[in-house]
Amino acid sequence: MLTAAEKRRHAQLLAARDNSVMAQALAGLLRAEANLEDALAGVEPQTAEHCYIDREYPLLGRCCYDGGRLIETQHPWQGEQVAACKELGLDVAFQWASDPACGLDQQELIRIWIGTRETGPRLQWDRTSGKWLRLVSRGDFGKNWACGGHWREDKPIAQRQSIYYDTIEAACPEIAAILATIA
Amino acid sequence: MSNEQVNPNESPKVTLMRARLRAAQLRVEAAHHDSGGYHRQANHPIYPGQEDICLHKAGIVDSLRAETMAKADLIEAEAEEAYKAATGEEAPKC
Repeated sequence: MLTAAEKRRHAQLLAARDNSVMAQALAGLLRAEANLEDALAGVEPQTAEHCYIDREYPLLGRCCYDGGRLIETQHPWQGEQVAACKELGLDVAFQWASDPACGLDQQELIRIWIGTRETGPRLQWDRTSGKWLRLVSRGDFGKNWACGGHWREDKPIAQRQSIYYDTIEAACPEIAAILATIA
Repeated sequence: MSNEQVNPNESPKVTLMRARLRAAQLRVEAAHHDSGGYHRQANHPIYPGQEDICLHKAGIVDSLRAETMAKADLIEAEAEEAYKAATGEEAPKC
């Protein structure tokens, strides 16, 4: 939870970064929330220097946000890691929330997709459940091994409920073994 | 008149800030009424008559947004008037 001063800072950064109607309206909402909190507490309005929010994601570890902007990840997953992964026939895609309508959740990680060159999409992590799903591709993934084409969950068709796994190791040990060599 | 409930024991400043928060929530709601997609599609119709349909829909969305924004402005203006009546001072700026 952000304090009133942090909400004001978040609103300041959001309004300065994004000129869209939605971003400006959300910044106004954050300011109004902060003003009401201060009025209820009987204190003078203040603006914080930072408004850090920490999130813990698989693969990336602890991620730090300031004003809806990702400023630091514990395990950066950039150029060299992606290239090393591709050499081992693995592709990892991160799906981020970019819409300013997400409010405080802007820039948060929504899903992680992992796929192989041979099979296409194999694993999906979802923010809502915080767990992993096994996927089976229809084979039309093209160059997008991680999340391309059509796929379905890897479970008996008659079973209605999804099968969730807490970790990549539990969901797919062979992919976990490859990822361990990179991270 | 807006339907905002006023607590008689609350300070005028808190009442004003509550009203401003409600107005800000309505402005966010209004921002969701975005007719940009309809206008874009109206400029590139894929069948005869789609332009008129899209412009009509854009008009509906625009009027919804205007109505919501007007509600927000009304709530804020009423709260500022009430604050002035209670304290004799102009309402503080955000």
